[in-house]
Amino acid sequence: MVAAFEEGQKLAKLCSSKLNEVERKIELLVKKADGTAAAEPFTGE
Amino acid sequence: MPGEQPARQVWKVSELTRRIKGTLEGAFGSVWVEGEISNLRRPASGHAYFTLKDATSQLRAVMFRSALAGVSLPLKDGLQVRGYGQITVYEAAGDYQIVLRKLEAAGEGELMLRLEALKKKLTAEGLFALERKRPLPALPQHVGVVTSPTGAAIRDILQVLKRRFGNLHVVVAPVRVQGAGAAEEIAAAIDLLNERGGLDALIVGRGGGSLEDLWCFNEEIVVRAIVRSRIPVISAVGHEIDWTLSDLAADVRAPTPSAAAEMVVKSKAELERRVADAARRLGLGAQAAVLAWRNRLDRAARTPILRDPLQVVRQRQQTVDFLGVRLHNALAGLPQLVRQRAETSAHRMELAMRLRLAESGRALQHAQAQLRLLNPKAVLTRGYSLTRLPDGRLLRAAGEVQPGMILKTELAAGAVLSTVTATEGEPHDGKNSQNTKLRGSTDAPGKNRSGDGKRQSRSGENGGRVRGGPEAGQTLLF
Repeated sequence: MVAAFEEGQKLAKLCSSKLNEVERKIELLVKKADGTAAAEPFTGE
Repeated sequence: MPGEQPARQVWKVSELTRRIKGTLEGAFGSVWVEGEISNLRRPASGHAYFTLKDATSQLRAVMFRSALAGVSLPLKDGLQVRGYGQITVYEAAGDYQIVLRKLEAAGEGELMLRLEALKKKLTAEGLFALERKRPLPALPQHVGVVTSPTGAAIRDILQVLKRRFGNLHVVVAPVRVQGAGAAEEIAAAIDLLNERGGLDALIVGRGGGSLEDLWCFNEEIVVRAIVRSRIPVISAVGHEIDWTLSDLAADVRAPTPSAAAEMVVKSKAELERRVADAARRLGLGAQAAVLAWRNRLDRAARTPILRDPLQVVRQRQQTVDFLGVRLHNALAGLPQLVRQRAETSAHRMELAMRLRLAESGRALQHAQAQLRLLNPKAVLTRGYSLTRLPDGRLLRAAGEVQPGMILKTELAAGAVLSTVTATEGEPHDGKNSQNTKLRGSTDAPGKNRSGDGKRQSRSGENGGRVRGGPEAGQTLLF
């Protein structure tokens, strides 16, 4: 029972950290002259 | 002369008009006509009056309320329409006109036919099958958007995404969303985002517009790109009422771009609340469990056996006493022979019990003896001793001591303090230190036994010679 409680706590912590894992970033894919695409910051918000 | 003139046929206006009406209606009957709506009027009657015109001509048109009910598009000036109705004459005004029974946006008919045909074909291929639909990920962190970078849709989407989940990675693949080449761009963008990878979901769409505006989302090339996408696709084309083949092909259809953003990304605040709630309930559950166990413990502690264990023994003792008395009384009442037998049995029982007690006692003594043997101090009783340095460590080598150092030697009974007078190769001259009371100081070193002698001799090799050490002969160095 203690093990289940500890696992629950671990999972709650994991969930919280998952929610903050990624940084906010808005990118625009721009076609370059050579035909490949590159991501640039998107400013048209 | 009046007689020379041919007789004039003079019509009454109404007669002539009726005649014209009959001729026109007979000649044309019902026809389809295409033109642009202008001068639209809708009086309280609910009927609609307007003019259909093209570059050079116009035609009056009327559509009665009953026929209007079957028209799906909102009438307005400037709208290109195709209508079906009867050519007739409005006698009161002397105007000829068309009384429309059907009306649809011009061009719509052909588009719809093409759309139906394509839908049928792709449905037959199974591209719209429900089994193909994939669920959206529970927590998308990287979202791709295929739409115009300048339209209202991208603004709406980004705004909703920002509101619902502040820290989200969004990749916008800019495309045209109407006109020639739009479909190809949309399809290529979907493929490109799939090639880049690392995305959890794709939003493909645009804001509202006419059927023609939205048309690229009905193109086969877009439908197939959506079907091909390994990333789940959510379509968001136009308004709630607009349906396109992209919507049918997508894993999820959203009524609007904003709704798509809401469907893809759950509210972070809501998710955080749920995690916190789960953690709180976990804590409460644990507390409840602890409380339950504590109650059980309390109840157990209140039971007689734990509150007063001796009471149980006393009760048993009482029972034994009681039974003893009964046995005695019973024996007294028995015939001689039986009583003797019972007494013999009792005697045997007692003997057996004593035997067992004696056995247990021996086992106990044996165990105690073994325990004693394991005690290092037991060796001291055999004449060995332990010599410690002033700091309490056991002395193992002559090099560890300096002249003048006071050593403590533990014996089986009591201990001796002695001062070191010399070490290392100095012949012992019997000059005793003040406190020395060495037991067995006259014993020869040769009397060392077993392994102890080895250690002794090693310290001898080092040249170490401690007064009271080798001389004592039986010093045991651990």
